Amino acid sequence: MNNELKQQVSELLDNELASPAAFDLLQKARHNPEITSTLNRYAAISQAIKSDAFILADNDFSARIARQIEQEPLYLLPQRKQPSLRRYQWPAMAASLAAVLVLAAHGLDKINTPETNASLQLAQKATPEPTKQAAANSEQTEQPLNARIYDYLQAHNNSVYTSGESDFKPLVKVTSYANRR
Amino acid sequence: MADPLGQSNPISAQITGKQALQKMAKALHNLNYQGTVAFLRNGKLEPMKYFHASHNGLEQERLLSLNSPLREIVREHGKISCLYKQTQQRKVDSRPLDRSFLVDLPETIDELDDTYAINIVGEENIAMLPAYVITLRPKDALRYGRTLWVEKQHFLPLQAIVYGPADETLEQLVFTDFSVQESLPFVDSQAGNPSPLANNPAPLPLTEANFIINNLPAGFHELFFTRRLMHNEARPVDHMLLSDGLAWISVYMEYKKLPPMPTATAEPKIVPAVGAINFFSRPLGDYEFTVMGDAPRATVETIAQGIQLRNSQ
Repeated sequence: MNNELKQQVSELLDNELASPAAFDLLQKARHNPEITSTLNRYAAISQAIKSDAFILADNDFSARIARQIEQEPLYLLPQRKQPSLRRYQWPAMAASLAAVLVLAAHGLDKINTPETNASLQLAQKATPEPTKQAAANSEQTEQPLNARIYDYLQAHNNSVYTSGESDFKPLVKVTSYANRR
Repeated sequence: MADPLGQSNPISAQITGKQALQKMAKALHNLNYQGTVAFLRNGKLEPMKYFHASHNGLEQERLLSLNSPLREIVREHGKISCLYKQTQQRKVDSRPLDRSFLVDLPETIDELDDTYAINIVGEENIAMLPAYVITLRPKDALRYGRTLWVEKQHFLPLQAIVYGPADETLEQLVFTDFSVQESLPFVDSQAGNPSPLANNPAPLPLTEANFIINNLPAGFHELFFTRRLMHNEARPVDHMLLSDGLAWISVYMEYKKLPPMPTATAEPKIVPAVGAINFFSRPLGDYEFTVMGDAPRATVETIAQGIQLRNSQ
């Protein structure tokens, strides 16, 4: 692995890598076990420096989490213009794994230390923001249910104007998909 | 009221419920009146200032929101415009059929004879004004019941409630202050920065619809049909409007260009109601049909299941 990638991994763990580059790195990690291994190793080193206690997660920990998520049913809930989580679950889980490794030795009762807060921010920041193309692709393949309903309501009657929702907030608060046979 | 739809005997008033509604239908269009009205829908309360101006056969309805987002909504001449105060952005939408913000009634109340029992069941004060309490009780389970409080002097609606099958309140509007004026000004609905008119759908012959609806529920008939652009898609959506005089049902036909959803490829979708409006969606051929309206879900579903593509006959 070249030095540039190693530098990016280090910056990622130090929360110094910009979001687009972080997303790009995590996308690469999805297909490059070497990057993941480097990520784990750097995180372990960082934690070992900070504390004597350390718990190393299994190598396939995040992969097992991803498989578990795959098996969960798909809920067609209205989204506020967010991309499908499934597209980004692997990079998000990789980032979360890094955060877990850093947090492990601190334990749950120390979760509010500056280090853990920084790690949490890293995990959140590393959750990739969708690129414009990815968002467009998502919109092309899945018209948000609440936006369609809003359009239908607007054409149907005047209730959208008297409901306070005419700033395009979702009208349907909870939806469910009935798969009836 | 223990029985919101007046199962008890109607009171003997000087006029009948139908006569009061007929007077109300005319007053809604012809009089100048204003007040503060609160809309309750989907658990959300929206108070607004209301104005209705009428002059020489023209009328203009206007709402001013009291809560954010501050906006002014004007209905006139077959269109509705909404001006957002903060951005001064105005959105205009075409309305081939004029529908009041308050209450919609058929042109002749006799249309409701077969489907609703209309009675005056009492008198109450709303906004400090005496009003007849008029119930419109459905004669079957295909539609919702309503109660209207109609001001006794000018026969204008002061309160209206739509009830569900278990007499639960689905939607409500009520005036907290109300007055009739000799005249009211017409406002300029062109102010602000107009957005391009997204839609200007003209009514089309019903025979141009690519689908037909078999076995319409009793009392419902096609009102109008049009094609309109929606969802920023280039391909227009067929839109048919049905009504039984009080309840309004829309049928949308969209071309399915996407792969079917993975969890249910050919199954109907059920989306919970929005206020009194129920939805039902089903795929048919290359199209997806969505039926929605202020009627029980069974009615919406019956209409959806009765849809047939015209070229499949």
